Amino acid sequence: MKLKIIYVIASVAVLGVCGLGILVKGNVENKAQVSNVLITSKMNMLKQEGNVSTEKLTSSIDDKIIDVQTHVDLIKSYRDVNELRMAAQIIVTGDVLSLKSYMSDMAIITEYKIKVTEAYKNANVGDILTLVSAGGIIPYDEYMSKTVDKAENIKNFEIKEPKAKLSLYKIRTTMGKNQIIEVGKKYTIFANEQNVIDENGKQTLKYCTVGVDQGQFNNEKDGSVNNISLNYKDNINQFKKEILRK
Amino acid sequence: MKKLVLIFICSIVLLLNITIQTFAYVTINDHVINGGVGDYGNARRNYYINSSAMNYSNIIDGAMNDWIYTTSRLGITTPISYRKTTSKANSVMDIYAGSYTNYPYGYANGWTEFWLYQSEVIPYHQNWGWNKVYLNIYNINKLNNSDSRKGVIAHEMGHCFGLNENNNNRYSIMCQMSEGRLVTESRPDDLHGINYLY
Repeated sequence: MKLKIIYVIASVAVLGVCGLGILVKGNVENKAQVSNVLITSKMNMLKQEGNVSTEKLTSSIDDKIIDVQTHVDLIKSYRDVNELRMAAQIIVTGDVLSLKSYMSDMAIITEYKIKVTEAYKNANVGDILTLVSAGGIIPYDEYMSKTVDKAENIKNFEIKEPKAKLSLYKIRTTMGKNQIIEVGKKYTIFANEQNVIDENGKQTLKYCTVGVDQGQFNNEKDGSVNNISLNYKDNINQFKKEILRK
Repeated sequence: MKKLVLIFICSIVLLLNITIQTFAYVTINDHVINGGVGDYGNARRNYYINSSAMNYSNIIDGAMNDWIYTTSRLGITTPISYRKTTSKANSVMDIYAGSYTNYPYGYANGWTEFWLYQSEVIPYHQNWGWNKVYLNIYNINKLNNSDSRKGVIAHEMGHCFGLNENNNNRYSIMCQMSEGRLVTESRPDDLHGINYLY
């Protein structure tokens, strides 16, 4: 009997070692997934003085982008389409016609015009709406001029480059896990009215994506809903049915 | 025979519990703060509370103590060793507070920036030298007790140490509040993450 018990415990130990291997692998995959978010965002890091990044500098102006990402503890997660629908004052699907990004308060935001192709809430097909999304790309000079830390008198991003070259750099910020809005792409947006500091420094009400980035869905990524934070993997038609569900 | 089956099942359950707890943390691509998080008993780092956050000084100190004094509380020792300083120049964790009501920070309890010298950096790509932590008093004052506020601060401190969001584990301080975080101080999973990194 004792031998049998020893045999069982030994078997469990062997299984345990195998299980441990699987869990370690899972952990590594989890890290890779985090990394993948960045890869899909096509982020490039510049090799600045003092940085340990080994990413290559390229000669393309488009690549002279410095990425900034802050880690945010959000007050609310929207767990399904129903929660987003309840929070949103406007729900539309449409094509982005134009956009402009600027420094607002302490963050870069993007104001864009979207032509409505499908209207779900408080909009009509054909409307052209102006909406706001978190994150964006702005010139380095503009960022520098508005991000002086007044309390400490520190300027951000003091890159040691000749002044003429600095005008080629851009700053790109993202918040949450979604990509920055792009012209010509189709999105489904859940928006509500929120206070925004506009480009003239004036506080005003604008329709912004619900939950920073949670109410923003790129319709063009493999035809499926693109929102990692929701883990909503259904296809776009099912997603739309869900929006319309009463 | 039934006894053997029972022992087998119990052992499996026990084993799963142990192994899951061992690995339930997420790092930022294994990147760390340059110079580490101190070496308890030998070397220490400093944190600085800006005047804007002075009203939260006791809570901030409490959150930090929960990261440091873990041996008696949880039986897990980490190298974390931080002391409050009034000299910003000596600090690697600067804590600010403000009422941020505008989009998009109106949605945040707090957030952490990663800096190297005078440049803000992206921690997925590289190590960093110091952090700025911002507390949004507009939202955290709505939290119904000081423990919840401490949880927000402890979460941001975890980012400064190199831990990432851990939203699959509601018993980790690195789970976001919006994802249903159930704890307000560092837990074993978080401390295992620290010991893995440093």
